[in-house]
Amino acid sequence: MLVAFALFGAGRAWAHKPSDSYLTLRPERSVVHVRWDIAVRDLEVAVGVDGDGDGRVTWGELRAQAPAARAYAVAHLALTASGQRCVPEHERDEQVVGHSDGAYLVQFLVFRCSLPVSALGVDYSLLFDLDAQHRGLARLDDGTGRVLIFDTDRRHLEIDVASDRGGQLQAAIRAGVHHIWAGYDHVLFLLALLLPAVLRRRDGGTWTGVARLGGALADVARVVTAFTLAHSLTLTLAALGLVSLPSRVVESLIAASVILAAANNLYPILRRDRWIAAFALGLLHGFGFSATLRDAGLSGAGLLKTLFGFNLGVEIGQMAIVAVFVPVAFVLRQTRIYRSAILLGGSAVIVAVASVWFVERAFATPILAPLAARLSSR
Amino acid sequence: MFAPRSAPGLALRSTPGQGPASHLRTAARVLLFAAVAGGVLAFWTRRSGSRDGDGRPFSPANDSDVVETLPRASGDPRVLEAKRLRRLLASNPRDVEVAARLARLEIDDARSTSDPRHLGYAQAALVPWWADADAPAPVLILRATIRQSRHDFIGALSDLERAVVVAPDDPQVWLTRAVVLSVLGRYGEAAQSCRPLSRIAASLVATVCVASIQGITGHAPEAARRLAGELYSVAPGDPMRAWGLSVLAELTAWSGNHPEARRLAAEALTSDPNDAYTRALLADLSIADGRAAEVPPLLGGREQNDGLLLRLAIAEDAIGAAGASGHIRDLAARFDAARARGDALHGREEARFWLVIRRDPERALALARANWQVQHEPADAQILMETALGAHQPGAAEPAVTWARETGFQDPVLVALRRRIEGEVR
Repeated sequence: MLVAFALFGAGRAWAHKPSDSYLTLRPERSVVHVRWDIAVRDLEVAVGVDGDGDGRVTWGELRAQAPAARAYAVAHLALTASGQRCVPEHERDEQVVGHSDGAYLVQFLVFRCSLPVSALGVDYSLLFDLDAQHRGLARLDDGTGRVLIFDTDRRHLEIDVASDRGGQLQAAIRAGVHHIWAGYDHVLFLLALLLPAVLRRRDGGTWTGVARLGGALADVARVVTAFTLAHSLTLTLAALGLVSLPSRVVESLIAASVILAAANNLYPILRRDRWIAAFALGLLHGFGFSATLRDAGLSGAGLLKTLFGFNLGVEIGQMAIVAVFVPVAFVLRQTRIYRSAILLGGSAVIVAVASVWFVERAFATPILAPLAARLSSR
Repeated sequence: MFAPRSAPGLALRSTPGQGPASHLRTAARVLLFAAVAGGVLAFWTRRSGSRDGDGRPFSPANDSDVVETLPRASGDPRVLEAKRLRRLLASNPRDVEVAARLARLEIDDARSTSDPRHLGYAQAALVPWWADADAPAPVLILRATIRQSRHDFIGALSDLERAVVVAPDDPQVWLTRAVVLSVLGRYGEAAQSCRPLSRIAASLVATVCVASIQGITGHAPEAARRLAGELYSVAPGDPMRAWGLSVLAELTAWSGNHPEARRLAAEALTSDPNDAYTRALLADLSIADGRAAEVPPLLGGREQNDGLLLRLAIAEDAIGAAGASGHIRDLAARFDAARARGDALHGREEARFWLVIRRDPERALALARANWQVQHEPADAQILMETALGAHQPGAAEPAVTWARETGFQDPVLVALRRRIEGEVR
């Protein structure tokens, strides 16, 4: 019995990440949308998900146990609005997501309450009977982004939900800005439009720098705003469910549009009227944005306000890039480096990258990922 | 990234007389160049985006896609035994005997897998007595072990003080008490707690207990000699041998003989490959001795263990290995996740992360200072000294310097750090 002795030193205890689940609670009038990430490992202990007992949990095994997981989850989370119990419902099918320590099953629930959700009560007891060190981390998606931590000593919390005047709008604006900055294809598209903004093409085909920064900025603002207006139009139509295009088509066309925008710098077809192109391509990109919003689970009542905020955020995000890029480009506009390497070379790079995306998306053929895998497994 | 001289785009600055054929040729050249550059750029963006800690939910394409590999299959005998005990306990939660058996099983698993979930399972079995000051003897020692693992050393000690009264013949109680007192820096009392072991346990247990404390209080070479002598008579298959070798490896390192320490640690690992502490020790010695290239094969496949992931990332960063950036991102995500759940168990390791990998000594120093408030082991003193030197605030290492002077801890690495600090403070 004297085998359990290898413990001199406090450092021995610290090792893996303990068990956590991640909740996102999004109150909206009298409902609360819930996204709940629970570790597959924990579900194995709670409901059993390794059907064939081989230690490898497949998507099929997980899906087969999804109803059990849902029942287990719903039995361990109670929401109240001003003391009245809200009724949980399945919102859409489960998915999976990776966190820093492995795979999690993502459940999407909606709790319907009899009163508007302003005083929200949360009772959390997931896994506590099995794992006394489990914690639940709930993020309140009401614009405040507050995080609530549940553990065995703290199972019940009451929160005042931010009266949703500015919160939701702010969150939507932030989402829009983030979307622009985090999406490579939109940044590249924007750069393709911005690269020639500080130059004019003479009739003979040579470039000359524009005289004033103000002129360059006005030109760019026209282009960018045309883009925003166009995508807000299609985004709204798509989000309201009036028009919808298959995402593979949209994503492929977006890649194609990036190719065209960059190629136009190499062989200009459109010169002064680039805003027309921006408007046309913006229509396309709007459909792409709507996929992002759908992924964020947006729908229903607050939708219009959210759409407005998101569009505003996209415009702000773009303008921020413009504000940084254009002055720098203006200073460099007379140099050889700018006109050859940056304008032409940069545009050519964008054409190439977007071409790879186009092939990947249109023909569902991964090119970069296998290449990356081969290079990194060296 | 672009060489202005050779940029093919230059040719595009065409004069009015140029024909369409030459335009096509230059366009072809531009596209060729662009394809190469674009490939590099896209590869880079993919790589940096590929390990997002908190990605977007997705639906796997096929039912046969493996979503997660469990540390143990559901048919594993230990998993089945735990399940059986849990069922028994569910019908009678106050059955001390079953609860203690389940908790002991889970604590053993926590040790062999370094997975703290098992500590949570053990604690759950003890819930009826968790807040009970007069808990039964078997619960006291198990609760102390769990509290110690949560770095609640004071709580653990109060359990152990009761346990030595109600179960004075349980060697585990005296040994755990010695460990906790040693972590708290109370070495005299810790050595006292080793004494009864020579009467109630195998003699190796008492020797290891005493040697672990002597190593800290400046007598590592003597302690190592005595322990090595005793280990000769232990059969190679004895599970305690690996434990003794691991302690001997550390004592040997503190005596300044790193090559021999590495050999001993490697030998301990051959008999107990799951001992994460010894694996981390061997990795640390290899990194310190300029053998970082030996670390990835040692730690590969054990990235779930945060302490080992830290060493792997440091080594890969040092040798410029391809996996470094991904592992560094994973590690940062784990620290973030720990902070999000409100844990503060990672001070020592996180300080090292910020010092060595992020090269932000100020932030590392703040973490090392907070960590020193909780625990006083040689590694805690070392990280406090290193971060204080890195941040050019040698005075901040004062508590560690005092600790080293008072204990007489003789590890040449720490002695050198201490001299540098004393030189700079003066």
